[in-house]
Amino acid sequence: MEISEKVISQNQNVTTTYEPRSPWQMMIKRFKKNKRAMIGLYITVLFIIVAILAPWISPYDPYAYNMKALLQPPSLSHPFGTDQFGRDVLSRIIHGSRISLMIGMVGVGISILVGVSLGTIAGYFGGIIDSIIMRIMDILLAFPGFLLALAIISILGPNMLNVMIAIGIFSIPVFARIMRSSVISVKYKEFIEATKSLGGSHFFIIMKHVIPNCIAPIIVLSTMRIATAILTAAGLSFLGLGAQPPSPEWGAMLNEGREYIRSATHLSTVPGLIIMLVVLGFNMLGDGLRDALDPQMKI
Amino acid sequence: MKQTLVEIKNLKKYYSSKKSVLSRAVSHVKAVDGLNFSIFKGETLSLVGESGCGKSTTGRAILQLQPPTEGEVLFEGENLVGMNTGRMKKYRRNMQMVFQDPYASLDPRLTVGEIIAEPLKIHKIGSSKEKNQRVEELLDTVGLNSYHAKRYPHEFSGGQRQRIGIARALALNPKFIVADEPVSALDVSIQSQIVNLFQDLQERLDLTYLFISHDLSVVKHISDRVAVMYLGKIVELGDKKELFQNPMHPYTKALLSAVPLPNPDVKRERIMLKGDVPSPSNPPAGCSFHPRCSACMDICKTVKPEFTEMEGRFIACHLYQ
Amino acid sequence: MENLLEIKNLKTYFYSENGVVPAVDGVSITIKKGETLGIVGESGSGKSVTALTAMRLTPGKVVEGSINFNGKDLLTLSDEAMRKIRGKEIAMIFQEPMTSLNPVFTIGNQIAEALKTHMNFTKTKANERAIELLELVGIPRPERIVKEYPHQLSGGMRQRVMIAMAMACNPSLLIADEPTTALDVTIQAQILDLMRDLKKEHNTSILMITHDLGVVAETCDRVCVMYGGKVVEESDVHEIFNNPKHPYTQGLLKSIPSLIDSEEETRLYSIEGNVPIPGTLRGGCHFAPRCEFAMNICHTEVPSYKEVATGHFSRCWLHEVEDEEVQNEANIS
Repeated sequence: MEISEKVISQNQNVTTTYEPRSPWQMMIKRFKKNKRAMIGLYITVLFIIVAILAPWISPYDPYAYNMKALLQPPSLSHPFGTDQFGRDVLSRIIHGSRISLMIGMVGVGISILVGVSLGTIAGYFGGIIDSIIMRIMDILLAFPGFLLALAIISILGPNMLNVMIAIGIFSIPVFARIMRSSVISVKYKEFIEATKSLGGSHFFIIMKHVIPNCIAPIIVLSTMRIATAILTAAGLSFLGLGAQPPSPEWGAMLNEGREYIRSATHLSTVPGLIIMLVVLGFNMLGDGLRDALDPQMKI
Repeated sequence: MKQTLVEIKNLKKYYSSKKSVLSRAVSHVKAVDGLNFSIFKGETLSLVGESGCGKSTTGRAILQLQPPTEGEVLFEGENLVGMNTGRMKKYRRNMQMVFQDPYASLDPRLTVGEIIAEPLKIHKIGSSKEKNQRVEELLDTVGLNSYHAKRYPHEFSGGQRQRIGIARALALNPKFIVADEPVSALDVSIQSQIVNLFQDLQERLDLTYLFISHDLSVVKHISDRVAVMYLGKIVELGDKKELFQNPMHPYTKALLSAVPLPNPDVKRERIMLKGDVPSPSNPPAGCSFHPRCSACMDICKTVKPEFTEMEGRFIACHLYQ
Repeated sequence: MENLLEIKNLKTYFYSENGVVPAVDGVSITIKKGETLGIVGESGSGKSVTALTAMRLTPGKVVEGSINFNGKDLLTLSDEAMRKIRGKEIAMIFQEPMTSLNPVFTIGNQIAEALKTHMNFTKTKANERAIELLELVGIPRPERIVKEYPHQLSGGMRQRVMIAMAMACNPSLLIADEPTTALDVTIQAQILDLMRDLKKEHNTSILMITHDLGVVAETCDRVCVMYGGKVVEESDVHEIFNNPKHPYTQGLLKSIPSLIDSEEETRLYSIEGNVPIPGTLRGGCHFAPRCEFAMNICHTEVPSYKEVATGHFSRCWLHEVEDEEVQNEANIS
């Protein structure tokens, strides 16, 4: 025993200095090697920093009218130009990132909270509870996501909070399904049985073993769903059902810019490109996370 | 007189499934079908048999991991079947399980120390310092080092992982351990290490084992008594030495003769069994072994043989009745 | 007897992000016509990779060595030519028959496919031959089985089907990679029996890869013991079991409990330490860290592969020491 330990550790010293590595540390190592994933991470992090620092880094007040500089094309003083009221588009984009980030985070947060709980319960306990929960999820899934969000907004009324709720609800079944299937694959593992044989309660097993072992696909899915949420929120605002003017929501800006598409193209293209960039960033991050966590993950 | 630790009475475990979504007809898989036997204090009783014979299910039914359909499991005289969760939790401290797959039986997200301390945590035993001390002690008991506690399962080989699983099972000082194929996933040179560990621990900690295995040579080495299962039933149970020297049931005979011996110079008469094991959802009438039995009589096709005692040997076969 | 397969100094390395893993590290084996050669080893010993390399099916890279099969160097053949050999002249059966059978085709279909591609059989002739083959491997009611799907059969039956497929084109070499490990003992006995009969009838050479010394003793004529990517001992089957020379082989044989001895052994012999992980081995004899006879030289230099008796080779520094002792004694007298 001792001899072999010594020799093995000697051998490991030859290649790398040995230190215990958790599954997370190994994942981070794999992630760092993936260039696309790192680009996704940079875009996402940049977006989040901009959102947090918005009041301090935006050059102008995003709501301030400036009748002397209407519909100006991009210039040095206004890198993204100005809109029909002379507001600085860059400042509006910067402030708009706060709205998009919040809608994405809160919306997906709602879906995770509800979807993961439902999925865990359905997968772990099975039987009739599973059937009831999953049939409700099937009904929700039967609606095209965007239509479902539209319907919820028209019932609740168009404002920011309702957009978040609508987006939250429409992602619930997706999270519930993924969670349920990973819970089912984990719950028959021998280490769960081992904990049962030690006398562990269902709650203990779920919190300590089931959820930690199912969290990987949820992380990946959340990242990708934030992208979807941002896109959906923009879509709703574009239709006038989300954030209301004068708030600098990207979708709303896109809609406002539509009228001037011939005279001031930048008004619609800039928010459009920004939406695309952020969605791309989150999706690349999600893909990278999946490859780093488990390339065979089915998302 | 030997002291009985666990007594199993008429233990049955059926799995039922609907034949189709629409029909009401239910088919039963009789995984374990009426077992009666006792496990004595301090002994190793082995359950042997081929895949699907119900040996693993028996182990899990005894530990109430899969609640039995019928029957009693008496642990020190108390019936565990149908016991409420709170009381059962107390009894769980006395009986533990070691699993077959050293890769699947340890949670990959926990450190070895956390895995071994889990039973202490569940039963709220000791402060965190005492827990750490106990973990070190247990690691030492199973032949690992205390610095292993901070590592993760994936950093260990199969044999070392099995040691970790054993340490976890020992944490609560159990009296009884069900070991489900604990060495069959291991390399040959590692198997004997683990078999020796089981034997050392039994001696030191006064343990009683139910050793489930399909490997007859390991069973012959480790057990005091052996029970041979076929299609959910015990066909023969007896003292290890006698059973291996003089198998009585035709299935036991065939099983023993089928094992390839690691000795090219020994030529044995091999009893070749015809066909496959029938499905446990539709076992043959009478003695379930009769379609493959070379000594099959008319009575075997219709009447189930009783599990009866003959000079210390239990056997279920019409040849001996 | 003529050599059918000659593997010379084969080195198959795997390149991964964590470095180079020499899975097979200088293996030389030969199989004669009509002979069964056993390769015994534990996980990571390189036994399966050796066989897969011979089939050119390994994802690893062959860095060195040659594989001569019936006068052709398999490593330099074109992919097209290799495909013709695979399945026709060299067939392989695996541990888990379910994964090597296609679940969406019937059994008959899959056997006939091999016959159509390699033997240019017509459809009806291929189907007839499929039934014959199933009969040959002892499957009852073959006319019905040809119409069934793999999942409808038991593990033993599936392995029989795999053997039938492997034997379809009368290969001269059958590579069996742990063919009975997933099976129960009574079924294992049937399958081993079947393989023995087929070998006798068709004079097929068999490369039997297994970790089970019982299977080796029953089926093989000659045995190679592998450890850490190298062959450590090779001999006739009786010699290996009665007179093992390498400490690893000796330890392995001592560590399995006996089924027939009536005397009680209280404690099993066991080889200390763990099975080495490929890629973590450095210099010297790979078994040295676990060897109870290890000397200083064992940790630093690779022992040579020595013929210790006629046809009996072993790779251990002890043999050099023994030789020296003999020499010294001779000098003294």
